[in-house]
Amino acid sequence: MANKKISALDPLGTTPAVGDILPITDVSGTPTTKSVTVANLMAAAPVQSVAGRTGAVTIANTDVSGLGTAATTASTDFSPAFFSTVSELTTARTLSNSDNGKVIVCTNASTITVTIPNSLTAGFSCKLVQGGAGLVKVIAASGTTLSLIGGKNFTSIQYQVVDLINYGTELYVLDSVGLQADPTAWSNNTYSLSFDGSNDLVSFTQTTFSDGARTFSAWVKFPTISSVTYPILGGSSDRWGYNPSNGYMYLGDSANVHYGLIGASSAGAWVHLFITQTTGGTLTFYKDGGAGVTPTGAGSGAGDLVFDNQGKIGSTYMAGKIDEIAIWDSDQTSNFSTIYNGGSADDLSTLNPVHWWRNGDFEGGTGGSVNDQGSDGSLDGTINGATFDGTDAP
Amino acid sequence: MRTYVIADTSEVSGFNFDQLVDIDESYIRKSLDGSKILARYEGTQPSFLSGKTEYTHSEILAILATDEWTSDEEI
Repeated sequence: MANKKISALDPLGTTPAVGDILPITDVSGTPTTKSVTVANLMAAAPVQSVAGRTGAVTIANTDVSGLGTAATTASTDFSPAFFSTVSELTTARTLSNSDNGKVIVCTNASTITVTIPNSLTAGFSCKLVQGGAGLVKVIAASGTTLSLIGGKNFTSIQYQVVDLINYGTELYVLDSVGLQADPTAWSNNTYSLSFDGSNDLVSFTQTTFSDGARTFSAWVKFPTISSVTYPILGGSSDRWGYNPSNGYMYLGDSANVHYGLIGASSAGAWVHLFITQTTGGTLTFYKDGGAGVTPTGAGSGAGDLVFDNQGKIGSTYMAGKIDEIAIWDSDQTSNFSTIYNGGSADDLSTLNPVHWWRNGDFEGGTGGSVNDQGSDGSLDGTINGATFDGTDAP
Repeated sequence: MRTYVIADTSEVSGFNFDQLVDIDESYIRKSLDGSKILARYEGTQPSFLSGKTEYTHSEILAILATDEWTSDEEI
């Protein structure tokens, strides 16, 4: 059919039928007759402007209402706003709306504190991953409330994932399996480390404990009593050991070890071992809160001591349990009674030991390491074979 | 239950430490002359230790207390 003007067509007497063809005319070019379809209509009358802008049409975040600032301020492209993984390398992060929907991987070796500010938009959520050795701790800033189950706001182990969810006005919850309460807070002593005597140990960075004022404290337990000097701390030649059969305790290196008779122990009994050295080098050995014993040994003090493990001296390995090893770079004689605590391990945090291994209580009895909870805190230990015992601690 | 076997040191290259208690070769215990090693595992015996004599905890402690494994000169 040749093209016709609309005025040349026969009028429709009634509502057009399905088969009737209605003509429309292109905006430009040769007039043609087209059927009425969405495509043809859109082609004939495309969107020419958005929000007052003309030309190529790009819809900006601000053209869309109802998404909230968490979405609209994140990026001009929604993709990174919702699908990015964020790396947090430091020990502190305050969340922002740009974190909404993201996976935040915390990889510091020390505890990472994540703070929820009161500026987040309703509906905020994100995932927190403990990507390294440092635990992830979540806290609420002023004006926000973090509702915890059992006071648990710390991760427990590497690769644990925590969902942070906003459920009301400035109200947040955490969702994860295996959260724990502040492991640094003293909540009695539950765990110890058990060494099987064959090859179990806890290694840490080889460290020199300089001669001078210092203190060593530990709790040990032996399932059987053998005449073996069992290692508490050891190195290539230096050692702190105790023989539960003959009752001697040793401190020093193989060429100049100081030894003192502090008394034998019974199988299955926790024993507290304590050593002080004054600034002038006077050593005193203690067992179970008893009177101090001046050890025998050459020279003043035990000299610089180089340790790199719990549980091994040369080819001798601990066959028993060790717990709550603490080291000070000061003479703690005046606090001896407090540290012994009547035969029960107690919170030492107020006494500021330089190194302090809780041997399972910080770690919640899981994982392959023990955290150094001392003020120095640099000697986290790697467990080789030793196992946490959550039913036996001094 | 932890099980213990003794192997020649030359065999350590064939060990899969994912199946052993010890972390890696640097942590494994050797006899004093270095000719033997102690391997420890829990559960089923790894195939690379197949045929080795298995020892219980008390049995291996008795072996490790001998002069072959423990020096008398310590302390």
